[in-house]
Amino acid sequence: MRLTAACTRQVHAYGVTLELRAGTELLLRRMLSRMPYGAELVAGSEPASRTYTIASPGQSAPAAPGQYRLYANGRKLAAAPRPSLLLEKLGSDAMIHVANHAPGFVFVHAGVVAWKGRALLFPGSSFAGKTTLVASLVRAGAVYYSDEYALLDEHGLVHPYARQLQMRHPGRTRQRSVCVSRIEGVAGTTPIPVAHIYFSRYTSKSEWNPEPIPPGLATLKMLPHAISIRRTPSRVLKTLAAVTSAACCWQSPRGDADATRTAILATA
Amino acid sequence: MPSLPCQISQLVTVQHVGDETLIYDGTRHKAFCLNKISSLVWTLADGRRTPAQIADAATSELKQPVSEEIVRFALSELKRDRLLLDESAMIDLHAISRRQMVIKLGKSAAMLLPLVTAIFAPKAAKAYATYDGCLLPDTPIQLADGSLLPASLIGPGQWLRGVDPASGQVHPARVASCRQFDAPQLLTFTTSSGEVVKSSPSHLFIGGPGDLLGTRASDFEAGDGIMVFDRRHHRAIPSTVTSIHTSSVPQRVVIFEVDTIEHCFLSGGVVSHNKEE
Repeated sequence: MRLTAACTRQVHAYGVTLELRAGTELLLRRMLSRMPYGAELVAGSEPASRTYTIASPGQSAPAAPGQYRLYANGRKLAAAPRPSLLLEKLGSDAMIHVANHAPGFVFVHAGVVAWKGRALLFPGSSFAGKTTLVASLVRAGAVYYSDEYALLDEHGLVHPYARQLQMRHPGRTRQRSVCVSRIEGVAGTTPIPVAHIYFSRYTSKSEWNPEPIPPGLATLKMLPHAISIRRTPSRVLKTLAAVTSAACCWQSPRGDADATRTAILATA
Repeated sequence: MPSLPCQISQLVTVQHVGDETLIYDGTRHKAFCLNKISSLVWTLADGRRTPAQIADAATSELKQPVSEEIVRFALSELKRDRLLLDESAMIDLHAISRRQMVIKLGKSAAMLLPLVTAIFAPKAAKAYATYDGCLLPDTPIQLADGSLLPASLIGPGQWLRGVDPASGQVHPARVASCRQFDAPQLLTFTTSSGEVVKSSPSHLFIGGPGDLLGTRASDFEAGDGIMVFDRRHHRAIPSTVTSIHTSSVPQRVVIFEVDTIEHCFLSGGVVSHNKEE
């Protein structure tokens, strides 16, 4: 489907160019605010890897009158009566695309801090308690690298992805953005090697009791969290193998974040 | 006459990590980790060696005795995971069970116990969100014939009532996988049409006919649209969320995936989505 829009911008994130199109400058700015952390506006019009358009109800759409529609490369992703409902989809789709296509990095869903100049990685899913544990470690003096992604390069180094922490109040599900300085922490700025990888998930009443696991098995356990495993399996396996071979890998369920933090920092 | 055991080599990506071998099968999107002994047996299974010859070669390589029985056990595991060519999978391996093998080897020789660990590689969107979107075990799930079964009793291969979120039409959808774990938080939704359903915050529900990707439970607010099942017209229709309550008491929850393009099924009368692509 061919879509036209009055306002267009391009952004560049981790080697991937995205183009955004909207009918108004205001809507375009709201789209820009949903781009992945680290994305930068670029001038010019180089070929975009993915083009997002939010079409207004006024633009022809006989099947969905009164609906805003979000398209990616001409394919409809979603429709909604308010554009705000589409921005969440835009943000997640753009993030997936960048993480899946970034040429120099393997994106792994993980919390990351630095301790004594080397990284501690916590691969895990959403709601596994990554941010809570990362925040606890940062309050104890660890350097903040990410509560969302470990950006791994081909040499096995982890790069900072120090977006604002996405924290939840107890009993609430909505996240709020918290700057690392608000929890008296600092963000890392340089790539560092990985010292320890912890596979852990919050389980009520459990205690931190880490068992070592071999690097091959650790690589396998990281694969479900690696965004581009299906697209570039060879590159992902090589990168993860470089990381796990040089690190100590552990697994354990965990209970309270602060108790876990104390145990981790005592041995890291 | 069946061929000798031979490893698969086409359409797979192989990465050695120390003594272990990782194999990624791009056609099945499955990854395997072979421990030291399995890795060695797989490498030596080149289509020219019998199991006895593989045992001899492994013994030389490891500088400790590797019996033909261990090799046959490793080959049976590799055969099970389709890491050997089909022709060689025809050979009769007469392998003993893992339990028998553990007893036979004893704890001291546990490193000689072949082990193949497998995982399913998710799509990029799934890995991005790593959705553990899930439901309480007692959530009623509609089967393809319209009857209800608690989520905890749903298993792979069962047929559910799937939904096309764009048209609201229902169709059979097969369960591909399911698992259980502890969720730290739960949400309780009530809709204007009377449905009450509990889920983890990351569970995806369909917000309306255009919501092809699904919306996280935690992103809904009272007044938002949500698709529910209309029993009278036998299709999914738009409804409205009237209230959402949060509970921070961790509970056991169930997650499963259905094998249809839309990945949607009916849970507690509400249309659930189990993938983000």
